[in-house]
Amino acid sequence: MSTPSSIPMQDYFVVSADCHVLEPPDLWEKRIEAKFRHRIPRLTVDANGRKWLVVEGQEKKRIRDFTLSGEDLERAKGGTFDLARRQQDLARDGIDAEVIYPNRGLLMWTSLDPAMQTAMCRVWNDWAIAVFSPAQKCSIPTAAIAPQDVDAAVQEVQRVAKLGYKTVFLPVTVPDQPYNLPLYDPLWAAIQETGMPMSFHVGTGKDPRTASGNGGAIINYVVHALSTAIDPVVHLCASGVLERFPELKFVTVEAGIGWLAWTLWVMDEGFHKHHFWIAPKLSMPPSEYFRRQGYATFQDDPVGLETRKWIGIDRLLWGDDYPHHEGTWPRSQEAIDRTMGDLTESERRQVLGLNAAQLYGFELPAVQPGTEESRV
Amino acid sequence: MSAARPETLSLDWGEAEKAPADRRRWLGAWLVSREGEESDYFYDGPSGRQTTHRVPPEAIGFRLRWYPSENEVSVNLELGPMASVVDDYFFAEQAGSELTLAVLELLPEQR
Repeated sequence: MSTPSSIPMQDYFVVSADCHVLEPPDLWEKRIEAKFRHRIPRLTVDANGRKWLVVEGQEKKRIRDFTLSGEDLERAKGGTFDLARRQQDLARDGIDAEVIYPNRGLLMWTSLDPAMQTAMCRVWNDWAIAVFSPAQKCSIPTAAIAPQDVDAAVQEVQRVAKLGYKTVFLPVTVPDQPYNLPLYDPLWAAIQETGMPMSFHVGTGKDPRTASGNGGAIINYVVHALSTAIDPVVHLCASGVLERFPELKFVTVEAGIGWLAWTLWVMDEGFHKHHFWIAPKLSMPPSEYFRRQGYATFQDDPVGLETRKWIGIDRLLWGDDYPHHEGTWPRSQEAIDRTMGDLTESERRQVLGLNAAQLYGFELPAVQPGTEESRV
Repeated sequence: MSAARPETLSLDWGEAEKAPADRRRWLGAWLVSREGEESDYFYDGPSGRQTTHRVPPEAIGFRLRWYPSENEVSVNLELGPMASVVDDYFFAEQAGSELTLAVLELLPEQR
């Protein structure tokens, strides 16, 4: 018999601001322009039967067979794009609405060729909106933008806005072309013009599978995936981008939030103590731009929640990372019980759904679940 | 004079003995350069069939990709099921007008 929950999810409007869909295995091969097809990420099997992941722009990596069972197997087979089955999976975890990112599509920016990146993104963008349009009240996909070729990126932003997308996402970093460069201004202007929030999902723009050998899995998770989210936050907050584009909204996704309070603090420390080096001059400390325009998602981060007063509770978005292994699906209730007991009722409502609903435009239920009114 | 490429390509996609949900899926595409550039794909479907295709003039060979069956768990835990690419097959200079192959014989793990 399970222990009664102290924070029943059914008493909240819950938005997972970070979910994933497993694309059809042949999505890119069948839809991309033929001239790019031979460059799509793929597996090869050598004469000894060893499997290798071959990705343009990255070293090839050995793929080992896994035997999974139980919930590990469920997660491996989850992330369906069958809307009815997906809805069942979400309901099982107490989710009312979701923001959807790709799975294999997180490799869309690995090539150093901006034309290849753009072609990969267009395939995802055309497919995802077509699949999820019938469920757009509760499931909104994110459009992928390849920012290296700024003119092409602007065109794609305008195109996806017309397709019906409500949000876009970009790689966390662009090699040799950081986000503080003014050359991105037309892109920020185009995104701001559409009103769509933009996000940066970890594991993109930098190979998150860099380390191998002793400790490799943990090194990759912490050093080469999660902590990379600091990059766009600092580049946008410190460079004047958010001063020039005050309506631009941005989100770091799946990086957790434990690093965020410290990042905001040291940005301001640099702003004050190195004021003689600061250019352009900012009208307020960098952290204030984040508190005005930034957001961050997390799934299971009690450390980060302890620091919420340093960040701002209205900046935090919870997500279950369905169906990934580092996420909380299908046991989000347990994670919430474990990590959100210290939050006030109002704080929980914001973090679990209201912040995301406001940012992404999800329609709230007429009567808030868990309120006196809902029990009448 | 012998053709530098066959006029038709017949492929036996194998696994006819397996239940449909246990069969791999295949994508066959024409190769148009030695660097691996492709043109249209000519087959998109499961194994368990035999098919014949007219070879387009620009083709110098073909590339096969296979995908795990419906019942198979992907070995690629993070990325999900994706294409495994078989070594490229280039037509021989002295190829006859009809080329017949069994795709499973082209897979290294099957050799």
